[in-house]
Amino acid sequence: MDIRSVKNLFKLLSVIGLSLSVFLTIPIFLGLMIGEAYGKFLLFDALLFSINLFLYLVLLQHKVELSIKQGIVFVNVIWILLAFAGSVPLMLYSDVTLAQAIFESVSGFTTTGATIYTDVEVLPKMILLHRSLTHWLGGMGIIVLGVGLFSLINPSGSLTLFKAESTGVKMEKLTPKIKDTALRIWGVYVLFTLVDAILLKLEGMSAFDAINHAFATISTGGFSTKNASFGYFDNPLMLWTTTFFMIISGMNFLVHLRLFFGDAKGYKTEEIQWYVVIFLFLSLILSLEHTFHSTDSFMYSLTHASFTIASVLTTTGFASLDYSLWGQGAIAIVIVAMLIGGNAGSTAGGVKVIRYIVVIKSIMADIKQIIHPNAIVNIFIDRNKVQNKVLHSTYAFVMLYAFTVLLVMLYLFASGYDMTTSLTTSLAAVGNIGPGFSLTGPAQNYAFFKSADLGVLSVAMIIGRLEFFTVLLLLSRNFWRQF
Amino acid sequence: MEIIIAGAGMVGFRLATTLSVKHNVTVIDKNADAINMLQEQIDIYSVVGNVEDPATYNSVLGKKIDLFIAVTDSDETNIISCLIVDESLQVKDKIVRLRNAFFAKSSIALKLGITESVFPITRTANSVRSLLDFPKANSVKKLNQNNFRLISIRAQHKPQEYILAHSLNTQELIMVGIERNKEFFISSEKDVLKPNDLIYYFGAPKAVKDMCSRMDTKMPKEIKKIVIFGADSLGIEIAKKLVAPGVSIKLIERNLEKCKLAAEILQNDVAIISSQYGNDRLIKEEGLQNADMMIATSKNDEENIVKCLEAKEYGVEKVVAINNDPNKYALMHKLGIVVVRGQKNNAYYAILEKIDSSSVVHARLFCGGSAVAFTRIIYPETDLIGKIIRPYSGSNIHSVYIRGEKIFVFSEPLLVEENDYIMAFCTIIEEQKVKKWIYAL
Repeated sequence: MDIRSVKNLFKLLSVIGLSLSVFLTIPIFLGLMIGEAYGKFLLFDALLFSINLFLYLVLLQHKVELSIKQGIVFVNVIWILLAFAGSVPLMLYSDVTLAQAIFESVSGFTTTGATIYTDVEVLPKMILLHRSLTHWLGGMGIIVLGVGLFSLINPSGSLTLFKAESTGVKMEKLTPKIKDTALRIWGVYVLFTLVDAILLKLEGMSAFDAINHAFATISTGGFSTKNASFGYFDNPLMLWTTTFFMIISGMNFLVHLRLFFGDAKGYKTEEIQWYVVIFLFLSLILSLEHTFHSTDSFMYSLTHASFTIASVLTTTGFASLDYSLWGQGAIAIVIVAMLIGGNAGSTAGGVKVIRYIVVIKSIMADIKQIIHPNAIVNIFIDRNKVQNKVLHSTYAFVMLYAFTVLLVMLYLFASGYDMTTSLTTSLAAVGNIGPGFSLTGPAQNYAFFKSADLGVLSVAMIIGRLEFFTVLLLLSRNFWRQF
Repeated sequence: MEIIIAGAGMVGFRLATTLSVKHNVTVIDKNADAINMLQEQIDIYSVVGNVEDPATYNSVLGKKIDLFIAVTDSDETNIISCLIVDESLQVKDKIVRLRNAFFAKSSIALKLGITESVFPITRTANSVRSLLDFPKANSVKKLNQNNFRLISIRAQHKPQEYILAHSLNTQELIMVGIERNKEFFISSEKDVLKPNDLIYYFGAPKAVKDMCSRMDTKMPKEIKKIVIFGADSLGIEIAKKLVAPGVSIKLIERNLEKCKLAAEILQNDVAIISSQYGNDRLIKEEGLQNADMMIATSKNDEENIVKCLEAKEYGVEKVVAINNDPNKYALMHKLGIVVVRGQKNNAYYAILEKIDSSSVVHARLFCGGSAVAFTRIIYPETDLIGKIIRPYSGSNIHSVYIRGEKIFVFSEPLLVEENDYIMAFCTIIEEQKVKKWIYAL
């Protein structure tokens, strides 16, 4: 690390820090309005703001020119610092340990939605809003926002950052400048959040709950302002609204952006079609399975089943009721949804539908090749040939995902938790879902974990959010070599 | 600006890299690999497709395009793509790279609605030709309609000789900048010239010539015997330009077929020699060591460098290499080779200059693109005449004005007269500020 790269790093950090401190004024403002003791929060935010402003002003003349390596280091550093910054207000206003606060903050920024609070309803409202806000900022990516707002980063550098933070197989653009695409995606994101919040409000939620749940829905996060999550409201209309918004938030935002330019063809991609089919199919069999094994009506089952499948498939993690009580058949179906995830380029986590399509098609191609040894076999998705490079990285991703889930699971198992808890918690953390089963089920929380466990799960969440490679690169010896 | 570049070859790639910093650039090429590579490296929008197919432009339909640049390998493709975008998109300006010099002479480009056409081969050949008039110069550029030239000379004085940079300035000649250790800077009064500096002078032809003789004692006083290596289209074009009474030219080419073709085109003005059986024999046989100037014109920079070093070895003082790869420019300079921009390099610079220029302001890049010269021409009946203009306020720039046949330093407010030329020389870093200033005068 020479002086130039350190300067690059600090200038970018200061920009993101400034953006964060501006956003943190929102909960402080809420505290001010409803008369909560916002003093400590304000002090922290002011400190954050002034440190970053100082850094920014010192480096005002410095021109940022990022190399790919610096971009990757930066993304990792910013996510670690975000975890710390987000945890401070939690420690100031509730009785939590450092590990717990950091876990909660990481869970927020990575849109996991797992909580260490046994009772969230006693927390100050501004802290609840702060938690939802971490979801909202982390969902679309705070760096993507930074790239959009500040054009100070040189083009190739911002491209690296964008790629490192956004999710999916490949990065597409709709405009020549990445900055414009980033800003427009954020525009769509804000719009969806507003519409969702207004609808929830109209359906009977308080404005505060509506905004919090909209933040957590569009970012596919999952923090709720109520202990019983959506179960508290017991309103089918709200469930359907949220189901709808979870599903569209699990789709590629570029496709939504295209719609605003009058091009609806984007929805005809294989990924979105399969995603919708998977959602419908799993919802249906889950509701049938529940209708057959209980006295509940089909409509009731369908409402809660589709809400649950949407929540787990898009890795949101809301619960409308404790679906872990629906029996082992239901649990199996939900685990299938946990394994799949949303679309590339969405706010959802998980393996993502497109990767399954690539893997399955490649397996089919291999079978075809064995039967017809002389055939030239290609894989096409949406009429585009899948390059070998993409195939390799997809397989690598799937393997990394499996390994990571396995390792975290074994760690939890060795720490003394039962197998179901270990497996599903690991899946829920790496996939940024939130609730698992057994001890971490939808009606439970993560409060009982030891500090070390929370640390491991926090790392797992960040690795999952940044899709493995960005973090793993740092462990490569080649990465740090000059030659 | 919204810019579309057709062709992601070397020229397209470099243009996209440079232009994407300030503008919205879309690059179209049928080579998916090249497009992927571009997309990975720079901040642009890209389309894989045939530029001659109207359907390729579907994804940019409805956008207002300020500039369309056609830089594919083929003249026909470039022209046809221009016609297609004219029909299917709203395009303000079109710049086309063309090889066939016939288009330069005729009004075809105008008929096709092409705003500017760039003829890199002709430009390269002209650059070489201008060396004939200024045998000691390293490069010669005519910046605008007036007779003044921007030249570079390699300083050859003795190390103990103490020359202050601006001490040789006159009303007909000023020093603009110096390239020392691969780095160009705007000269100031305090700078002292060092041997082997490449000095940029701007002035009247006679004064420039005198200065050449003063600074450089090594190079031949006049060029009568020229050897050209390579009979590709560029080699032939250069030979054509160099043909003059009293000048004898030998064009050497390994490939016999190319030799025959060159012989038909150049007829008997130039001696075409096949080097199929090796160069060494030819040196003595053809007396190549007695040449005043040797030009290596291949598309391969390494080959050009080796040819130049060989020629130096057997005693030719003035060796010229065509520079295709910008990364080799500094190395060539360092080896004491006179560098002339090759076609692709020239196309790149020429197009950048066209983008920066307008009917009143001309931009010319020099010193391997690390410096730029702006000229604002005061045409008769323009508003500026009779007004007082202020000089550029920043440092690191030489601004002058030409009135009559004399150059004056522009350091105090000036009353503009008809047919004045206001000029500014600056490094590429200052380019945007200076450009703003000269346009806003």
